[in-house]
Amino acid sequence: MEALHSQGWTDEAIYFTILVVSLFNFYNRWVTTSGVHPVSKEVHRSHGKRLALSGYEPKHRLDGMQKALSEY
Amino acid sequence: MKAIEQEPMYLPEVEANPQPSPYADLIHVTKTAGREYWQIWHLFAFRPEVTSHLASFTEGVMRAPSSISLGLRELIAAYTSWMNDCQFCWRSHAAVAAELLGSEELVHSVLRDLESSPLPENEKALLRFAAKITKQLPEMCQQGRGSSPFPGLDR
Repeated sequence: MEALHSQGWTDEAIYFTILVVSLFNFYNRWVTTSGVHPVSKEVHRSHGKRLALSGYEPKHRLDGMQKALSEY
Repeated sequence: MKAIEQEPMYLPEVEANPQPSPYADLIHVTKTAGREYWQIWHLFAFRPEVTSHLASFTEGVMRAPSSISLGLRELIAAYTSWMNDCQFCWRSHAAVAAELLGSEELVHSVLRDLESSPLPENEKALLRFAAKITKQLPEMCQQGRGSSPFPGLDR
């Protein structure tokens, strides 16, 4: 923690870092163990672009996907 | 349109039974359009009453206002997933991070070798911390043992 505080990070910043790391340690185990496979580079890129805009609420993601497909 | 063939998941029952939910709709519209979809949507669609909370939690962790930017949070997610060798996860979140940080090259340089990447030193410190939590949790627990409230349960 001292290394992070001395770099100017607040407890709030460290709190969010721990949340993200812990959540993804969970997702990595869930995804790998259940057999979720990667997709093509292009599809990762296009999904990534949409996710950056829509965030993680599924309704927003569905709206984003429908919009993208209608423009496709 | 021709359906895209994707490698099956390890849980056929889960893959075959999406329940009514926005995730089932996502799978449907993407498949109908003949495009590749994310199999993680099946994990969410199988028990939406359980996973809807995880989706909201994820939205909060990744998108709520914080001094850690959205792009940096995505980079931490990609880096954590890279260390756990979760290809689907690191590829997904490296793409989001690249979009938000405006540089795919920066994201890939961090994954290839954090220390030689052009990431600012203070952000490198956060990713080193992420590596420690992911790879050295038992050591971290032992360091904190001095103040254990349960001395009788110490190993």
